[in-house]
Amino acid sequence: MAAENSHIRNFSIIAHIDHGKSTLADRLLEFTGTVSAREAQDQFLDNMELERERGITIKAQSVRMNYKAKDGKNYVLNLIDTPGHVDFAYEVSRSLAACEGALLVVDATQGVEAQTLANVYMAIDHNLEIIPVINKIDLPSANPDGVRAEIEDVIGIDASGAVPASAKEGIGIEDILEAVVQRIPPPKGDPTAPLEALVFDSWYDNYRGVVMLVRVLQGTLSLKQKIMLFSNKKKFEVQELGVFSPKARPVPQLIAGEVGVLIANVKELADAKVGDTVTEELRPTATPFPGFKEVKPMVFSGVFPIDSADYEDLRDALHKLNLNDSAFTFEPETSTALGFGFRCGYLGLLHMEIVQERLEREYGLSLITTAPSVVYRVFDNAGNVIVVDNPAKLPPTQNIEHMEEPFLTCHIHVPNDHLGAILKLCQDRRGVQKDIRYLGTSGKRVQVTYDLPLAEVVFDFFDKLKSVSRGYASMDYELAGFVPSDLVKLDILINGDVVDALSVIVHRDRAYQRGREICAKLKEVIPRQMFEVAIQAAIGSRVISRETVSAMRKNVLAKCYGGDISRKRKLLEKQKEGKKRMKQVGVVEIPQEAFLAVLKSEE
Amino acid sequence: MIDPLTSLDAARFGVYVHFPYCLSKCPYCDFASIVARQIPEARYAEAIARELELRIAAVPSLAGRAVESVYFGGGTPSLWDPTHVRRVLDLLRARLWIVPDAEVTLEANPGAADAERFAGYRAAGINRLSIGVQSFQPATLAFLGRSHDGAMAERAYAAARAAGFDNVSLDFIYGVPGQTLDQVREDAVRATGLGADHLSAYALTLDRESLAEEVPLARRLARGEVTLPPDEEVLQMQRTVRDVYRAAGLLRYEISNYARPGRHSRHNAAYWTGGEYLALGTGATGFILEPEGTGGVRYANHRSAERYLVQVEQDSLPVASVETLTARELFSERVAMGLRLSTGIDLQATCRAFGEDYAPRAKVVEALVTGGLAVQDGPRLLLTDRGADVHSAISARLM
Repeated sequence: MAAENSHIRNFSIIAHIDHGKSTLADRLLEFTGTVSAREAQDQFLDNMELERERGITIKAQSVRMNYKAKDGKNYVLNLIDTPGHVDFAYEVSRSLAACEGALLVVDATQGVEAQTLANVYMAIDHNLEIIPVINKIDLPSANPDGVRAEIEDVIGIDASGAVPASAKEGIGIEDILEAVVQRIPPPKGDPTAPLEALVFDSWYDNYRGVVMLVRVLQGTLSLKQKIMLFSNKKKFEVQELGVFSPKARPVPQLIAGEVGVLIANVKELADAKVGDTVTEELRPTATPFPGFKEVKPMVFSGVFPIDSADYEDLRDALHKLNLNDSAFTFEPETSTALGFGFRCGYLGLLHMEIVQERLEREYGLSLITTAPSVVYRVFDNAGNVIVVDNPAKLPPTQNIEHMEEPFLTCHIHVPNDHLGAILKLCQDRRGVQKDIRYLGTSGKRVQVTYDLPLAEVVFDFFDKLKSVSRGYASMDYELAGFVPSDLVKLDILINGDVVDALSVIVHRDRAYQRGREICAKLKEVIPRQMFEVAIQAAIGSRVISRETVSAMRKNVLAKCYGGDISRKRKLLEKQKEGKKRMKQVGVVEIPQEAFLAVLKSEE
Repeated sequence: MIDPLTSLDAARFGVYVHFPYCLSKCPYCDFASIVARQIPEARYAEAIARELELRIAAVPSLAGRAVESVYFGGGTPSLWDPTHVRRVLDLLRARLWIVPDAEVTLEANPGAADAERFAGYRAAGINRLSIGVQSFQPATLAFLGRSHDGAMAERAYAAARAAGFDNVSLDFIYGVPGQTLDQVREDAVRATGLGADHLSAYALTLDRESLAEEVPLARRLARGEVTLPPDEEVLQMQRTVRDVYRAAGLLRYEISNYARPGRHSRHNAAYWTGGEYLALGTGATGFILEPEGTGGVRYANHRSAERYLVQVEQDSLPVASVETLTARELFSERVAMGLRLSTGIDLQATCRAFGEDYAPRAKVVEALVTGGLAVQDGPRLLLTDRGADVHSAISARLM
């Protein structure tokens, strides 16, 4: 019997950033007539403005394509996009769980990268059929045979059927579609069984409320159906069902194997968590789809309005943004230097940048973000464990018995030529080597595994990783747990006053170096003021480093007569506007970027 | 009249007449100017007369208004024959009202100056001459593209005195590429030795944002062909100029201006105290307050002499741009200009006059005073020399 869903293929694309995932997706949409070439703005799937600018996928999307294969049959192909950054590894795993297969796109000039590897292993864990696609074969430096061998060697999957392609030039697109139809199995699942659907993405729509992207695993989702979310047992009624092709189009039902949009009058995004299982209220499945977890922020920073009058606006904006991105957290924070603001938690550094950019861009706010901090466990003399995500909140040194900091297990993938530099970098960042092994048999590629303090990774590690390996190293990580560590609080004083928002927690061995670096960086970013500015780094009352920004000497317009006044007023107004981007701390005007200066080292 | 906010004796309404023609173009000058072999002196005078009528027709309240100062600027107005200057002044007297003790200035070039011509201006009603000496040093003058020399400048000054002018101002430029501190001092000593009533000394300005139009020297600077002396040196030059002038009894009353007591320019003071000025001629900028309300209008005439002439001859106003100024903008100008003056400005009263809140500015004022950049003189806040060096930064924080 040909099952009702035998013509469906659910797949995603796994690729390293820049290896051409978005371009390939565009070509598939064009080839299947889902969008015309003219319609296809570059990179159709990335529809947030920010995504397009940064060339990364933040929220997963799915698109339904109709394809008449060479066997004469019509197929429905659901392309499920996955976020392409380690900050969103959990979302990637949920997207992959909604698929039966994946295209593994590897750049014919670059080979396999660590992030690709991590996602590919994840796909293998989900028993997906993996179709290697060797992209960019049109480039002169393409080495498809080498890359094919590398895929077999490094990943350990059969790459003899790898499809050579060039998404940019439209080469191999039909071969890819044929491979999807022939090699990826149709979804299993019985449309008559009790409903089991996986939420693999959700977002907030101003008009419709919470929108969930679901993969129906068992049973059928239909309009008016009473459903229940497994994690919180909350019940809703199905109001709308739809598919993207690529614009949203309503459908009466989604049967087992299908992917689509579910709208059920859910008001809070927090009620529709990614990874949760949707089931029927009256006929629930016995167990939810495995693997659900609550994502927890790993990195925290203060977010303050530059103009304190914008505090309420910031709060409203955070509430609204949280409807769209429930992965970040926020709670009120008060800083002596910066006034009222919020302590926000993020999945990682990129997530932090995205949240800040969206707040500024979508809500028109001017913000100061303080340097990110990880969560520390502080054990005090009274035997309490205090969780500290803000250096300013660290208890006095004499009350601390010891502290623990989070460590990551990092898998770094690097060509042999750059191994030395990577080992040195990891060593410098207090890394503990766990494993080192050559990938495949060529002896050219190495995977090193280090346990590294999260705080050191947060501190410009990715930039350094790229620069010491000339861009060839890539990395994937997972949380390894908390480890006791000799940590101290490093305070920064401006004209003698501690600026709490600039304090950082650092390892004692690194305190002097970091103190010097931060002072030097601040000297660089704090513009000359009307008065001299002293910048000091201190541990407790001990000053360990000092820099001085000397006062500005000449800033005056020589002539001001009738014909000059308007022009010169405008010059001064511009200068005044520039001030608005700065935070007044005492008599010192500190630019936004100074608060992130501690992130950049001078090595 | 005394401006209450700055306590400076300043014209409340002046007339500015621009004469754009020059014998050669100076590579640093951003005023509307044109080099003409045959200067249409009569045609230009006729155009000024017509523009005056057009202005009065547009703003009838101008007719008969008391004029406390008239200023002929350029260009090189001393290339205009005294008969034409007389014609313009006569017209102003007829259509407006030039008060008896009005300050009437004409800018003169040392190269085109003789006692007879100056006597003609004096007879026409000019009572103050401003001579563009710039420097006595051959190298500096050559760099600035000036065709006169030091001796000619001194002769021009003597001619002005001989013609009976008892109020003579000289203009200087310092901070010129290649210029030394000693040369600046020599210029200052020689200037004061002449006994001028008023001296202006400008730091050479070539940054594009500050200029009304691009000038050749700014282009050379951008290409790296010339470099300005470092800021620290320019400030030393300013200090030197100030000290030499002060020793001769000329006190700094504005960032770039020095005068014997009572001899400051009341016309220019109008610009620094929010005064009104009617402007006539190519590229001239005028400013008229709204009769009712708190705003004002600033207009600028076409900078091209030919376009200006044709426009006026067709009986239409030669306006290139009009800017309506809000109370807020006028406040900003008032503060920025007031802080250029040695008398300073009553910031609290200015805030009250323009409906601005003083409270947030009080903190800045306190920091400025504590830091030695300003002093409070009764109700007025005035910048110290060190404050004046960073006038822009301070203004931007108080505007």
